Amino acid sequence: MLTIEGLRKEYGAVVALQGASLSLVPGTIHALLGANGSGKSTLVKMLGGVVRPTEGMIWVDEQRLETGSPAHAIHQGIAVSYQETSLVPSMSVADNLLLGIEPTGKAGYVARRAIRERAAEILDQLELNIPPDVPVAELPTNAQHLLEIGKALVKRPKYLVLDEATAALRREEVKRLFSIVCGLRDEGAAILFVSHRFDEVYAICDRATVLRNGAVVGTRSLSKTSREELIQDMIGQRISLEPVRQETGNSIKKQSLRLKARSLTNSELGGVDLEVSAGEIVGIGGLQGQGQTALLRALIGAILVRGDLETEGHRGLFRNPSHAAESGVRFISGDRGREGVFGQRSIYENIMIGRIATSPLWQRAWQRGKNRAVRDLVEQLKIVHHSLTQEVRGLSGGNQQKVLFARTLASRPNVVILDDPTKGVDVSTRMEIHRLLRSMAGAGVGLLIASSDDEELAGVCDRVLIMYEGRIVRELTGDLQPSHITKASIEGAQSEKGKGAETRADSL
Amino acid sequence: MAFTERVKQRLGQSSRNSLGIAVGVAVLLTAVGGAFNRGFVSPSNLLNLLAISSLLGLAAAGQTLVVLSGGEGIDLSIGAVISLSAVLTSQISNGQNGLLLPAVVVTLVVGVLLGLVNGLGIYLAQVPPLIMTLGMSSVIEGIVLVYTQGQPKGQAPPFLAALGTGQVLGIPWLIIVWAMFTLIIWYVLKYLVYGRLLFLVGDNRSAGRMSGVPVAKLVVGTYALSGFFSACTGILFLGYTNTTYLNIGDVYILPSVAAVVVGGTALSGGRGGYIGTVVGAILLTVLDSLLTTLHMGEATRGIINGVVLLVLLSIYTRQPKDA
Repeated sequence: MLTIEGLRKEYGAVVALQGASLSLVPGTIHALLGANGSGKSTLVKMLGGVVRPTEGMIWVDEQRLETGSPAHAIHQGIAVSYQETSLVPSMSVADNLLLGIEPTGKAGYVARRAIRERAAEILDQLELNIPPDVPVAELPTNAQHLLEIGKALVKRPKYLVLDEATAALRREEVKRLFSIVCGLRDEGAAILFVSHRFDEVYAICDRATVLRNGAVVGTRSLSKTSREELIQDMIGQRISLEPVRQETGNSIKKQSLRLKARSLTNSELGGVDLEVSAGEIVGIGGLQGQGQTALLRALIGAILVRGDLETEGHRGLFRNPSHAAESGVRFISGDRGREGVFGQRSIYENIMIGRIATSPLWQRAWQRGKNRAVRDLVEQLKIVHHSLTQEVRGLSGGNQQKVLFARTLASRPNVVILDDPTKGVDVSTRMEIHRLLRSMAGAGVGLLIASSDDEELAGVCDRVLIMYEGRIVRELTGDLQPSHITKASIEGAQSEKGKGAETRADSL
Repeated sequence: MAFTERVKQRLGQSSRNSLGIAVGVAVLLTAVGGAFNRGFVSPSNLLNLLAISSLLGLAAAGQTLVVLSGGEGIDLSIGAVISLSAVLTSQISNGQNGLLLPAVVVTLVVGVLLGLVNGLGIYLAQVPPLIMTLGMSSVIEGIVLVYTQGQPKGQAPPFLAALGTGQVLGIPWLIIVWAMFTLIIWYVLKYLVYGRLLFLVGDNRSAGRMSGVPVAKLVVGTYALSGFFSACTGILFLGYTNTTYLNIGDVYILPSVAAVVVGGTALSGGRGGYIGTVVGAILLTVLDSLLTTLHMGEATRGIINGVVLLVLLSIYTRQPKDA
């Protein structure tokens, strides 16, 4: 038996998990459910030894697990298949499968032949028709996820953790996985199954533990629990800390359309239509990884997509983000360090680029008066700094985010597309950013915001589109409540899967 | 708290500091040369040193831009383009002033086109810059060999030869030309949109792309500019030496990179500038000349050259990797 006792994890001031407890019983499959940010992945990573808990213990068969040590977790018979996969792209399939548990020969050298044989065996079991010598990077996504699962299975675990393992798989692959997992259960292993697909949970799991805001709501026997009860557990009653939204943008709303997209389609998007008017803030919600990121990137031409797009003074899809910027469509990435700030350059330059990014290259960049404009923006956004020539990497996350907003304001945009605009910023900066978003809308800008934070969406948006598996499945308008958005996100997963999933559950 | 802030601020200016160090070392080396041999610091020798530096400085101009553009940017085809340009100008003009203009135009166009091919291969085909420009280098050298059949013909037209070796008011033309180029590059980097964006994109290419910068145009254009500067260097080199032979540009390949780095431009891109490279080119030329003056053998010169470079670079890089 594996027992988790009062696991707690703090990241600075943020509490990701506040004292979670549960136990995995051999011979059972245990579901772990929860909305975005409820702490599922944190819990999973602690089991795998990747994240060290701030407090709490994990007991494996009466023995205390040394936390924060992946090697010890593996030694104790715990194997984890991670949502984001833990494969080394440049290494071969076989080497990845046996990474860390390579069979060794007498003198301690790695037994190449044994690796190949063992790998071939597990690939066979998974009915994966891929040669063991191919580098992982060359595999399609679903094969990589199968391999991630295989990497956990090859350790012959007593405790198997599957974090959203089925999300990227095809139906027949899920079926195969379930038969393997059930086989493992019958041999006496315990499985922790993390998923947001209710049909799958009901098909194979015995019990379910629900997490909400980093705390365990309860553990229920699935045979005596309805879906509605589970959903209620996941949503609960949340207290909103946000001030009531001011309807500043309403007066000019519907006057003009700022952005209109039709049937955007690619490998991650299944035909998305959407419109953003001047002065309107449109939110994109849904469970994590339902194509939100792909949608934002498709709109600015950062990834390939088919479909049609219309903005003021421009018709057709954008070729690249620069093309979008020329038409006044600006993007603020959720990945601030990699795609946002220029860390080694000054605050001044980081803001100024908003103005000059699309200017002809041979034009003069600085003109008198622009200095003043940058200074005004820095003051308006209350960016804490000691000099405009200071490097941006020395600023706090919240101030860096404000620099990105200043840059965007300097560019005088028609449409601003934002990915998780308050990710990793403190509460007061978050409020400031929300006010800023409203005032941008008040000035006639059309905003499109993707966020995994339903409170944020409810607090700041005029309407919210719920995405599920690359499509918009619901639109919420009027009086927005965080719990409604969360509920729609979870139900979106259900209603959308509805018919197909039932037949799948039968066939299992 | 206040102390760490101050330290951070100081380190933030490290590129300026490394420029100061480079200037100091260059002056020091000149003084050492003067101590051994008074002729070393005579005005005529100093001007001569500057004139020699100018060719390296021009070759390193394109290198500076390419390195600044980031993405592990480097141009190892500089030497080959210089060789080809000298050969082209010499063969087309055939020593006649009247044919100089067409020769120069053809040479510059070819230089830009070769740089363009580099840029397209690097940006669109995603070939690493080191590999792309190295491959380009051997392709060009092969072309030179076929074009000249191993025997470059012709010589510099008198006008070009005058530019390469002549003086005005006692100052070599080469220095004046270099000063003009320096002024223009400095202005472009400091005041034009291209220059400002080059630093930002060099620091973080993905962020540049997402902020709407036409990164493809910028990066490909930068390699084309490098080809342009190499072509200019080749033409002036022909004027300086009057005749040409195969692979004359090879001696500039690594020194051009060294001049950039000694001048305080970060090989990772986004930080530095051309003024640093100018100082770097002078420093390297003075060092080489000093070692020759001291009658050091080829081997000793190589060793000391390398040690000086390593010491300088280890001083520059004494800064935190991440803030």
